[in-house]
Amino acid sequence: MSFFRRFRDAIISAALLAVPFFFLNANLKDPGRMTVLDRMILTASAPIQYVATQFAHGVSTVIEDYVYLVEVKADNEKFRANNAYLRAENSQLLQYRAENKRLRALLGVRDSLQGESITAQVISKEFSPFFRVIRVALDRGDRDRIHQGMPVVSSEGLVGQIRRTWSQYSDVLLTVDRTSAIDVVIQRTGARGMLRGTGETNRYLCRIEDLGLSEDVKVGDLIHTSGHGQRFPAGLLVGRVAKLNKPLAGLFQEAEVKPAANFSALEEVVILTAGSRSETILNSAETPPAQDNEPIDPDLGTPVEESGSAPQEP
Amino acid sequence: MRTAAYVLIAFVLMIAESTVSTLFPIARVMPNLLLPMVLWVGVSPELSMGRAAILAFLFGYLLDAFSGNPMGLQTFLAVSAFLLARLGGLRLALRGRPFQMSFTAAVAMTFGLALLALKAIFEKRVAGPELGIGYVAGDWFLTALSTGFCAPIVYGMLRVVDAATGGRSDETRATT
Repeated sequence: MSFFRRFRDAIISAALLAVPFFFLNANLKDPGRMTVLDRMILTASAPIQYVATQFAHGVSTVIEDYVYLVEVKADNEKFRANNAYLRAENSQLLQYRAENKRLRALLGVRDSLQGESITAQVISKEFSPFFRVIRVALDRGDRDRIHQGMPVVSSEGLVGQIRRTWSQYSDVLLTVDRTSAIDVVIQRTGARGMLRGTGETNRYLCRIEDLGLSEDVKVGDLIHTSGHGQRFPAGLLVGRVAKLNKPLAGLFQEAEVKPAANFSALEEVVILTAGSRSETILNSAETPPAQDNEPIDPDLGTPVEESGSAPQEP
Repeated sequence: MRTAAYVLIAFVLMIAESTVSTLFPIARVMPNLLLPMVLWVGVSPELSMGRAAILAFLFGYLLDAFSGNPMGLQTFLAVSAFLLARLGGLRLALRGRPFQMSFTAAVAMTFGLALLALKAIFEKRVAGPELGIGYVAGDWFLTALSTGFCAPIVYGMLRVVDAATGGRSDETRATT
């Protein structure tokens, strides 16, 4: 025992030198050349190495995960900001797409119309208590040679006509306005009538009055401008028959027409300026006198309605 | 208490090294932070030979576990370095910082050369020649320099531990 105590430190040092040396030798030796001692060393050291390695690996993983979490958090914040920016940009791009679609449709309308026209942007709308558009203002006016009475068209159909102008703006008389009157024709049968706006504040509605009772009109029939008079070119879509009022007795029937143009969604329109309206031969004696509250055509001195265009009896 | 503190510090230093190496590309200049600890326990008169040798063994084992080297490689070298330091009997604490840095760097260079030699002896293929002798030599030199540079920091930490654990029963064992 005293021998051990005397050489304890030397024995421990020698053992601590020998053990790793034999570990190293056993670990790196070709498996085909391992001795029994090597195998015993490996077998004895395997569990210890496994525990130590797993512990070291586990702690390293925890630390690294924390470090990565900090990076992930930073990345997360960056991606959130980027996502918000991209969403806003996407929303804007969707708007541009919708605008592009509208403008393309409007361009198609312009191309299909003869004569000169000019596009205009809707700059303001006035609404009724029932959120129906009752008045529309455009960004074109006197400076753009816009005059009262010029037709206003959207990609969906006829909007109305210029009511009044000033410097660079103008007002539009909508087809549903109670002072509006347009000579129209039923596309399917050719029957003509006078389309007047009802001016109702809770819906968009026009009526064709003075339709002959024997005229073949059905719900769903398309209504176009007839082209008679010096106002609207022929063939502009005005609306669709929504309801028929046929009296049991009488000479005329009445058709309620839903306008084709969506006044609530109006953004861009086309104003027909010159050469796009069909020529008609008017007899001044046939021109009906102006009625109250009806705008006067400054060029013709006649009411804004399609003058002399009373529906013809079949 | 002091022994446990030394082992804990060694473990923390290894964790810190592996974390820093993940964040920054400093593998070529990564210091061997446990080598100063091996030297410290080798020249520390308060620690008995047996206890100090076991500590050196553990430090070497931690180095092997964290570095991915074959088990026993750096353990053997750590115990060898400890024995040499104990035989040399130098008192690092009294020699000042420049001596600590240069001495530790010199020991680290020897340690690195011995490591390469053992790898060449025991491993069939030693990683390094395909990188070029210059690259390997650069690694060895830079590691030794960085070890020497960081040595005073490690010695300072150990001095604090010694001061904190001063007057405990494990300090009064006979030393060689």
